[in-house]
Amino acid sequence: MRNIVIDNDRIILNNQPVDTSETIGQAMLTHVYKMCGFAYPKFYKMDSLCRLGFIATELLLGDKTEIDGDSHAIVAIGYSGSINTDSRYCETICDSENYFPSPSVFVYTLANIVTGEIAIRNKIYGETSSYLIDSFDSALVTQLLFSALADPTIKTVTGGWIDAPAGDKPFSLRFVTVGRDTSPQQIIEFFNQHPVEINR
Amino acid sequence: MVEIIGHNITCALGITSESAYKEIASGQCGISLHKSSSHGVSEDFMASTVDTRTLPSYSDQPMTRLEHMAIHSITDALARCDIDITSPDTLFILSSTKGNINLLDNNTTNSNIHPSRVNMPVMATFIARHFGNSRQPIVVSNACISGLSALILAKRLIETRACETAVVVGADELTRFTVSGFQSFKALSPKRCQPFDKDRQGLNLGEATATIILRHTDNPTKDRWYLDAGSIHNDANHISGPSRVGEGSYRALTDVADGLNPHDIAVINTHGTATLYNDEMESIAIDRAGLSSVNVNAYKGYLGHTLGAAGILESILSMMSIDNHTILPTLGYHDIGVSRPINIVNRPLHTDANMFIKLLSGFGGCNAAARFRKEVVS
Repeated sequence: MRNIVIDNDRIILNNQPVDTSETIGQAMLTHVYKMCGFAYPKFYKMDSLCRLGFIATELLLGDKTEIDGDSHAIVAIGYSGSINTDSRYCETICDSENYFPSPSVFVYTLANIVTGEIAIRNKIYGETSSYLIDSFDSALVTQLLFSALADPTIKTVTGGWIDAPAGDKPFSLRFVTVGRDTSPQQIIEFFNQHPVEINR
Repeated sequence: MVEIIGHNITCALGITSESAYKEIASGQCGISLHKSSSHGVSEDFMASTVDTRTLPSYSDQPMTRLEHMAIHSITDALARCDIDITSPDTLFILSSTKGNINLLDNNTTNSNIHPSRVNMPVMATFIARHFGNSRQPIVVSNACISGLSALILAKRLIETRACETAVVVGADELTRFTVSGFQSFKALSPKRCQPFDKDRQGLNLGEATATIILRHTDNPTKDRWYLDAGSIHNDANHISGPSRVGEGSYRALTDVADGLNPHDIAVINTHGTATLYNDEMESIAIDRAGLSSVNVNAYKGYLGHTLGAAGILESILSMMSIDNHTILPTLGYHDIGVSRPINIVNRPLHTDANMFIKLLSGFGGCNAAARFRKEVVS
């Protein structure tokens, strides 16, 4: 079972630490982007939530040869959704003297854009879904992840927990790739081994 | 099987399904002009709004306007069916794009509401607890397909017996946040929207809450509605524009129409936002799926685009119209303005079919289709 854990100051890919040269937060994501040579300039247009999901899936899905885009799903579960960009967008409309709403910011004020960015990058035509819940509940996250397999055309799912809270609070990500032969119990145990404290 | 046992629409044209349907079936439009100055945006716009002063009061606890609309919608839907709302086997699902986003806007005063309620899981929990339900609710926030995504999730969780009953509420209100955003995209029409019409100039926003209550059953009942299939597909093309070949909608449509005779489908109720690209994309998807002979309509001309409520509200209207053996016209549509020859309904049509397909698409490249069927055998 492929998996990745990202916290503000560490990345663990398939149970092995990734060298992040002691960078933290958004700087760590940019560092990994450069270090791994991910040539995708759109990365710099993305908001913090999308950058987090992008780096995770670039590392997790590798050279993508094992992904069948027609039968692969992306499922993102978190708490904060797009709150970072929501706040940023609000700053552009709250003051009538300084009113400059921008479509390139507004589009990132949706929790599911990260699933779309991952689908575009990896040519995934299966399901993309975004759910928000009030606590990191391993069993519920697993249930939502596996719910995509209820669709008979879906054979594999990448996703799990992704949360980029407001301001500079630490982000968290726990992603796995599961198939029809993956045991949900194994995934619940993985999430239990890497618990998340939501930064409210 | 997943049976629909109750519903409510709370919108500009009524605060029950029956009252809203009555207005819509008689051709009423809830969309009116809003002045820029009264909303703090740069241009006037057309939208439909709910007069929340007409809603009953439900609690002494402070709640936002949107929570009030959602609680009204759920309360009314619950009154139509017999379920144990407090049971741990009953799951709440909230479908919303922006929830209480107004709490972030400095110019709105909601000082008696805790600021954490801007987070949609906190809003959903507040609503579930209002009804005495202590199970952790799920928020589905999948842009404009949220309503169908939420119904599809409910179906899956009921089928795997993760819950017996699901209360699915869609809720989004008209805010400066969304109006300014859609204006920045130049997506709003200066007049009432005209889905699929050659003169269409964009969408109108609308606010609404809508509820569908679903439950597991082994034995279908005559004249009841069932959610038979649902499918979600991404275009893998662009985060803010639909696929030029309708890829995701085409795939979702073919999944839910698989094995059906097109004659058995009363109508495909499209997203039909009346933007140039959306309606064109849907016509391509319907044509590619071999469904161009099926009747097609859109309801955005009555209430505008109600975002997270749209999938639920429009599914309810479709069920009610088929209960009345009618296919509702596409208000605002006169002359075809899409490249594919699809059958857009522009006057009330009689139907004896008992099945329809609901189609939606949204930012992030997501598309959803669902198939609803009315049981005809007793």
